[in-house]
Amino acid sequence: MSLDSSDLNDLYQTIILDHNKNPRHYGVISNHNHVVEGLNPLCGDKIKFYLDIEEGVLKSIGFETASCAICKASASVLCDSLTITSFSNPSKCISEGLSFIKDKEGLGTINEVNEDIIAFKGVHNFPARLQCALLPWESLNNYLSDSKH
Amino acid sequence: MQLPEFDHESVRQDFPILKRTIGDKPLSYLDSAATAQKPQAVIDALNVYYSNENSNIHRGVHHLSEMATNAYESVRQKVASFIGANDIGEVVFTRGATESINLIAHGFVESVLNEGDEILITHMEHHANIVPWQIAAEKTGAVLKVVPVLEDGTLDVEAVKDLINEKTKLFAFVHTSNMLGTINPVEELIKIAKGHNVPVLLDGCQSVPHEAINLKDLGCDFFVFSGHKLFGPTGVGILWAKREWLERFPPYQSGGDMIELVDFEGTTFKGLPGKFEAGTPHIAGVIGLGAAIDYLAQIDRVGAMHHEQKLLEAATQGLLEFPDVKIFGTAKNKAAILSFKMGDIHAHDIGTFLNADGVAIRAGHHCTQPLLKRFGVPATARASFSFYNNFDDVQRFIEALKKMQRFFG
Repeated sequence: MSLDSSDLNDLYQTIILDHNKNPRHYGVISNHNHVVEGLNPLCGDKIKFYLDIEEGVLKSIGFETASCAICKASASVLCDSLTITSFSNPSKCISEGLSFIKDKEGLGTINEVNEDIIAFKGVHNFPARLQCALLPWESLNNYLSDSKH
Repeated sequence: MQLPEFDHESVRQDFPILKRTIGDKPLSYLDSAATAQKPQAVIDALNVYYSNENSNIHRGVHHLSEMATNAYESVRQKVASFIGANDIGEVVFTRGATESINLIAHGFVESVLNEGDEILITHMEHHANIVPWQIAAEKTGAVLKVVPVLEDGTLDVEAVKDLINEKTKLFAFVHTSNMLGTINPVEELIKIAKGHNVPVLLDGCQSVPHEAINLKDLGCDFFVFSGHKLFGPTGVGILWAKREWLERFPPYQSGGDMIELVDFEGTTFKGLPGKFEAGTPHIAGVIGLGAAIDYLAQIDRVGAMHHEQKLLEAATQGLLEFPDVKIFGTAKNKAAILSFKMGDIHAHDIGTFLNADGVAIRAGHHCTQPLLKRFGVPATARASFSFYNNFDDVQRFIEALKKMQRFFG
């Protein structure tokens, strides 16, 4: 596969650079009562979500990463999406986000996700980096879909 | 006398992969510390073996089996000469350096370690020289002790003197660090260990590709390295150990080829080194490793090392011109390995950017997570050089970083 600077621009477009530099909802939230950790053992990317869950309902979220720009921006878009939609349907939001990143399709059917997710359409040209974009969404999804939480 | 310059441009011709492009960019392969590229001679050796000699070794009476056995066993002598060993019975072929260390750890669990014994390693070990010893310690009740690494990436040699004692049953350490590039003062460390009658395991994975090794001078008990970092095929490693240790250790794996006589009443094992080579080995890989050693014998290795040092120097200078760069490992005595971080830009982003310009580097933890923790970073970018690299590679590396920095602003 030939890669050139237009592919790179696609991958690291302004939206991702912006979310990387000014991540939304970055940091510990004071009232959190759950912590979710995600790790990509292949590259060592780490993510931590801080959640406030009241009676089974997600109320607010913050995150921290020790990761690449793709992973950090992806987490930022995720937290932003959840917050903008007032946590109305977190599981739908996450599944929409996951299928967009994985399948690069379904933008038309996206309702719960911040449109900035469009920035991740370029990640498909970089298979080695796909997991970086998926890590935040998958980590949170695994935690929230576990009935114990 | 002025030595002739190392002719790296002619050496480059021996490595066909260096002619390829990545997209429309020439390949600058700066990841030889992960695995080295293969000279045509090694590729040809595999081809010749599979086209003309392929057969299982030992016990075969037909012509091909004899050819394959001779080709395989002749490499044992080549390896012994290459590292300055006298006794080919002390050279064991394994699947890689990781398996070599696991074999030693198994021997220590079975025949050496007891509760309260100590195993000494260093903070700059590859996971392959940490985890087997952690498991050995868990199994036996032995204790793992770790020699600290100083800020410049050198080993705290004074601490070795404090940490080593009569309970220490092994000092296992890396010759050259794959993350920092630090070349450890092996002679001094072995002398300290020998002063306490402590056996030494030396991990030579990153040193054998860069410098000549002579075990007679070093005086260690165990020496391991991998074939693929030495320009040979993957899937072959070397364990060299003093005969007394190999005789003391029980077999690591059992089955075909490692036996003398099998009877349901009991089985006797082969002598050395066959006792440790169960099953059909990676015959082609071993033959390929032999070709790599032959190849190295006909290049100017001292010149090659000097050339690598010049590349390291040029790359280091280029890197230091960036305002927010940090280099991990600034030892005076270091191999051509350059680990760094650049501002807030994560190593993986650096790797992806460089790749777009055809520059292959490694990004991540380099299987040295405790060492990265020591330096407070989750990952580094690492450029590693071999004698087949040239100054164009260095320039492309630096130019690609400049481009990346403009991008991230």
